[in-house]
Amino acid sequence: MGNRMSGGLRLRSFYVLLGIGCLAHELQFIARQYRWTGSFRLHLEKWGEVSPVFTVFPPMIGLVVHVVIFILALGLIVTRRQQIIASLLAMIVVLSLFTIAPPGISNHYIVVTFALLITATFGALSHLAIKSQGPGTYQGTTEIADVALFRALKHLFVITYFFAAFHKLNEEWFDLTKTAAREFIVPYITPLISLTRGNSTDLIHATVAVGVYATLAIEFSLPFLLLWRTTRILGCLLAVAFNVPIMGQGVVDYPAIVLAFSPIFFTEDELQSLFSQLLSNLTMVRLSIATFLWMYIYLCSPDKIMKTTWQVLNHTGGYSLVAFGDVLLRQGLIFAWVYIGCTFVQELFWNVALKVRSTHDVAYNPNS
Amino acid sequence: MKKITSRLKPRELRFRALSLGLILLFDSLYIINCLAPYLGLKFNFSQTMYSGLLPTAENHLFFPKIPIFQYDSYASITSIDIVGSETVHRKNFESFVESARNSGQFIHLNFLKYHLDRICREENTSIAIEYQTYWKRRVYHADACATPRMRQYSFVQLYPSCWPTCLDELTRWARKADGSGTWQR
Repeated sequence: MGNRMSGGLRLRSFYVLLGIGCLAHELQFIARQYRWTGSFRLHLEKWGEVSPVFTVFPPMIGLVVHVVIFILALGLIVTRRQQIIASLLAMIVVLSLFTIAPPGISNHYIVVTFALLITATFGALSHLAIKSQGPGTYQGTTEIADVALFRALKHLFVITYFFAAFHKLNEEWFDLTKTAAREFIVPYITPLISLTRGNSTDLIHATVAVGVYATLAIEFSLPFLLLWRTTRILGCLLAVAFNVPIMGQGVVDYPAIVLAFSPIFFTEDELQSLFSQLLSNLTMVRLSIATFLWMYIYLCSPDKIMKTTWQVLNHTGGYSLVAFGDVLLRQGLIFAWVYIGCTFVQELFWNVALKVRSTHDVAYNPNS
Repeated sequence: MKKITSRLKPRELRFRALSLGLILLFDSLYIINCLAPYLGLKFNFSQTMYSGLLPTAENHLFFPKIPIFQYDSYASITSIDIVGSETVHRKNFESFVESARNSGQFIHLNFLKYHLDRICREENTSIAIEYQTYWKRRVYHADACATPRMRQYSFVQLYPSCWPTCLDELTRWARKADGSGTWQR
């Protein structure tokens, strides 16, 4: 079966980005349990006391499931037999749904589960077509399976965004004092408020109000932009850009999925062209500048306020603007990918490495 | 797809129908998954992240609640009296109930039943419990251990354990689950 499906670069990119997302998910989980108890087994056992989830399988099964997910996710990134690995990952991810700690199965995890089940199903369908028709005569059916696979994945992504917006049509979302939009907006505008002489409450409310309605407008427009052929790239970029402030708050899981689904909305030629341009502009000088600025922002900022301020600069283009400024002027698409890619890596690092280090001193101590 | 259709053989047509059927199946399952809060089926993993939608899904501005299922059962425990069990788990559970009551949190019945069942596994244990459901119905069990339906729970969490969220409390509880003390600070 291997890579016989002709999804080509689009499918390979999807699998690689999904693999990175799964790795990020697992690393975050390890970081969380590490700062909790320092022991994977204890972590699972202790949650089992509180939640009914783990009573189905002993903790050791949970441990094995996570290790296998980690290995398979790595396999998605580095090997060429992604279709088979994705099918195995689909099975193990479904099993893992029963070994998840409170607050339970998360929204992004169910998207990944569906995506993997879809790829496994249509992969199996393609395999079936090849087996039943013999060599050289299966092209028509495998082509149909490919088209169906991409269509199913697109539907999954589009439905997700539709319901993300649809569920927000409730009283609490529009209440500017309670809305969840505050969580994402207030940290970004706090440093700016100190620079103004106006009423900070009014300013926060005004900004949150803009955020509340803009979020709805973007999320409701995305399904239509993505489904319409002429606007799908715009929709893709909008989806990626929309997730940047979310990443800025340390939420990596969902943006990782958005990144993974992006290649599906491109054509093979468009994606090939994008990667060629990206690689031709990826010089050591650019990388060095970007790395230096990133290190300065995240390792050398003296205090939390500075860190927040630098986050604002970072997420409005900061280092990427400097490092990839000329590319930005020439090709906005490349800028977006480089920028988002760098942001993703840094957030991943930030979440896993630095949070473990900074919170280890308050980690749970059984003797305390 | 149109280009393909024009030159499809009968076998390929059947294959295409199968593919479309599978797409519809996945779409339908996923849409039901996302509509589940309004059906009273489940709230978790329904793409409600950061939406402000209540677990009972009754604050949506125009989509009506269609309670085909009734798994969205939350309760506020008014009294609980456990006789027999002296385990750490029982003490932690009582502390949790007290904390939830003080902070006005509703506890999901599935979560409640899970813990009642665990405590009831101790020999000669009985639990008298009275609670008021979110829908204002008062329920009293003289001995929840002897009531089978009060001990039947789902191992997949379809709803948040508490509402408003009690994740911090649960985290503290889990940390102290080895018997090193009660979970409350």
